[in-house]
Amino acid sequence: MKIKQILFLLALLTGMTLQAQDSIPALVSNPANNHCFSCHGKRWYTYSNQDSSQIIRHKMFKDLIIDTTAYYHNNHKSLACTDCHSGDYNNLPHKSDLKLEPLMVCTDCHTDTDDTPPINFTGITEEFKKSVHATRKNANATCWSCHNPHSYNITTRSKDNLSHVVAYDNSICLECHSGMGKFDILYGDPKSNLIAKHKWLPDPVKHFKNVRCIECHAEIREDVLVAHNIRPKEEAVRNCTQCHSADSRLKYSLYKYQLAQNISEKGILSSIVSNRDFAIGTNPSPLLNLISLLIFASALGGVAIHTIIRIMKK
Amino acid sequence: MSGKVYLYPIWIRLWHILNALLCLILIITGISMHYASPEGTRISFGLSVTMHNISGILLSVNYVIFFLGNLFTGNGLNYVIQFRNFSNRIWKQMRYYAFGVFLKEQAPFPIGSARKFNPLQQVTYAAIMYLIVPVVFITGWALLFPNVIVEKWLGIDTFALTDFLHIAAGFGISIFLIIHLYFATMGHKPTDHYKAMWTGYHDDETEHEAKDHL
Repeated sequence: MKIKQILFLLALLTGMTLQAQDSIPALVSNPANNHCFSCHGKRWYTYSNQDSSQIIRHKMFKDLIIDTTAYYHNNHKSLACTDCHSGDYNNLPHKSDLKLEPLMVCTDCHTDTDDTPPINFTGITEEFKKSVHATRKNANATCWSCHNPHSYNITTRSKDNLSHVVAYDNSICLECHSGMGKFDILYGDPKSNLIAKHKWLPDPVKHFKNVRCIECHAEIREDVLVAHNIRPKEEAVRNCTQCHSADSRLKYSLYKYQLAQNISEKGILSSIVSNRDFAIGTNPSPLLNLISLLIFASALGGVAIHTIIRIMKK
Repeated sequence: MSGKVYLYPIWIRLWHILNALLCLILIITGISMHYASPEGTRISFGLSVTMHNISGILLSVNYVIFFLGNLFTGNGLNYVIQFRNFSNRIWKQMRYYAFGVFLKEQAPFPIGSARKFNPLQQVTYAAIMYLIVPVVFITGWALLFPNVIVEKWLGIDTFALTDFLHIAAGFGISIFLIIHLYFATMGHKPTDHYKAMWTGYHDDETEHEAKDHL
């Protein structure tokens, strides 16, 4: 019995230690936001009526709830709510005319910089305006339709794990286009099935895991980091060689700053050993192609020389 | 049919001609896909893929026929490499191809009913049929069903490695084909070996050798 108790205590202590190691690192919090999150970080909020001193409890409208954990992991985590929203929101209850406050757009803060690689926000805006998200009747899409400013993480310039980039970016499209929920509301097509619609691909699921929707559904512009000109489905890429060839469009989009550079710098062998992302045909090695042509020519040359000597010695 | 020996029974000839045709289609479509570009290729990419896939599947089936045929008939014995005096025998054959054939020397290992392949043919054919061709169709099947490939193995991207091995083995087979087609012209007459693969009857080189010695 004692042994069992000791083992139980050991297990408990080990578990506690592991729990401590796995705990979420301290979040970068902006104390100025605590006031806002005390209501907007919860499903239910309470406030005191300044006139009657009565405590009032209300359910928060779900679109106004901010996931505080996601917020403090997102790209805007260092910002105070009032950096983007009116400072008048500090007063309770909020004045009703604040609802008419024009929302900021990305380019109000983000301007083109000398970053490498440049994101080119001006180009993104131009491309977005040409895309079906902007030109379709009743599209009403804004930057925020896809990029939630309270939880967005930019992944494109991540150098480590392209599969994470693909999964994250595709999840943005799937928010509406997954054939469930919003897509059905938008298009009234409850039978929408992305896998069935992409069945012409040799392995749709493998493609979904390894490339982003925009690889085929958006027009690439070389000076824009991430393509934003989403084309109508009729214009989607259906030609395999657009990706599976030496001049693959993936090199100008998904692999722009990773695979293409690695291969040109390190060569095919290194890419096989170290590369995490690979698509057939995108990275033929000029060196291996040259060697194979030389061997091929040598075999044909050897045959030719042997034939000539045989004829001469006949 | 004097001076001839029946070396190639009908199943070997059918297997061989089918194997040759499939390999040719696979090499041509393989090169077409390897050098594909978005601007287009001589053979359309879709057609190349379809032809390559179908030919690859047929090649695998044909290989099973070859494998079982070798297992249950005496033909498999021709592929069992004789390691006794191995390097010396290989050297003799290589020397014959490099010099002897021009000096009208007798083949050091004449083909007859007792010997179907010379030592160099034996080791090359064994390597091609029991090493390179299995690599090409196993990797080919894996690329046909990419989800069966383990994504990472010892830090290596196994999908890329499978693709590389497939291309390398396919390239090896194409080089073999060039040399094989040329060496097939080295009978007493350039067309003798080709005729033999059609009729099944090969010149009994041991008999020629015996006559030459008289």
